[in-house]
Amino acid sequence: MMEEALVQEPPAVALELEQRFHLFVASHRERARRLAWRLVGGDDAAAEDVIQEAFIKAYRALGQFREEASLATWFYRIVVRQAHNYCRWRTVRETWSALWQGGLPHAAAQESGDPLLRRRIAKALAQLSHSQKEAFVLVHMEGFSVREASALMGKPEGTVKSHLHRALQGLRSALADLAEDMGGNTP
Amino acid sequence: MTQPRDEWSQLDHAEEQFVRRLAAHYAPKPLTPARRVALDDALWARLQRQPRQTRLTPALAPVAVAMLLACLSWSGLFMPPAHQGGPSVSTPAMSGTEPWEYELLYSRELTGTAEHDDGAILPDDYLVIARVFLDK
Repeated sequence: MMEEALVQEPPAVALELEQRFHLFVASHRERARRLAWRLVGGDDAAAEDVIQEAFIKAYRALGQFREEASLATWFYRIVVRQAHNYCRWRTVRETWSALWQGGLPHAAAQESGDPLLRRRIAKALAQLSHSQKEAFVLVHMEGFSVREASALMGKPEGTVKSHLHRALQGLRSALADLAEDMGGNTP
Repeated sequence: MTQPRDEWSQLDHAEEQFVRRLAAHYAPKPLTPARRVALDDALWARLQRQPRQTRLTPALAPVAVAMLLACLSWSGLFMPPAHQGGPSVSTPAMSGTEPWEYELLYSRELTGTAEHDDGAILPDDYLVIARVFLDK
């Protein structure tokens, strides 16, 4: 385990690893949180849980990655997978909750900006498949390239492009008024 | 690992604006400094806890397995003998059972009779319900 390795390492090396980790957390915290938040459907607590798990895994693997870029790719892959797992378990929990209690727990999102529009976007995204949602959030919302998204999702680039196309079609039809509004503004 | 939004070149102007609008509205509030500190503290607390758990897990796993096996063998020793065709009504099942409940639950098992009218042995309030739902 990495934590044990840190303890066994000479103090200078352990300190260097800790400093590396601090820097890594500081430089990726906001983006990872935003990505996780978008993938789990706007739930603040769930997004923080997801990134904590991912950071713990990154901490353990820190010594195995010499370059920060490869650690970052690996880290975001973990974030995507953790968010995916979270959504899967939430679906199971909600199904059981609806069956036994007759109600659905709802995400505790912080309200800011236009809450109604945000809820509509979350609902539209939730209607896409997991892969379509992941591709759309990674490429169009978070600015990853298709190649990066394909590495993060573990899918070929062609498949990611196809997911992107379908996701955009789905969102444009679910949020047609927004899309038309935009179209009407274009010269 | 961030690169310029190369994929946006494939979107037309309206699509690009649509996507930009979604991205702008579908984002969490930025972390406040206090929340960031709390998040970091929680992360470090979890990292401190983790090594103890990983060290304890290998030590506790055989103990847990041994306890599970002991429970299974213990429950096997004290289990009643398997049902062998004859009627078996255990005393604990009867304790706390009203006579009419006992009659209803066990009489058919004892006599082996199939369908018969339970109306005569049910209490009055059950009969009222039965009249409503079963048109008796």
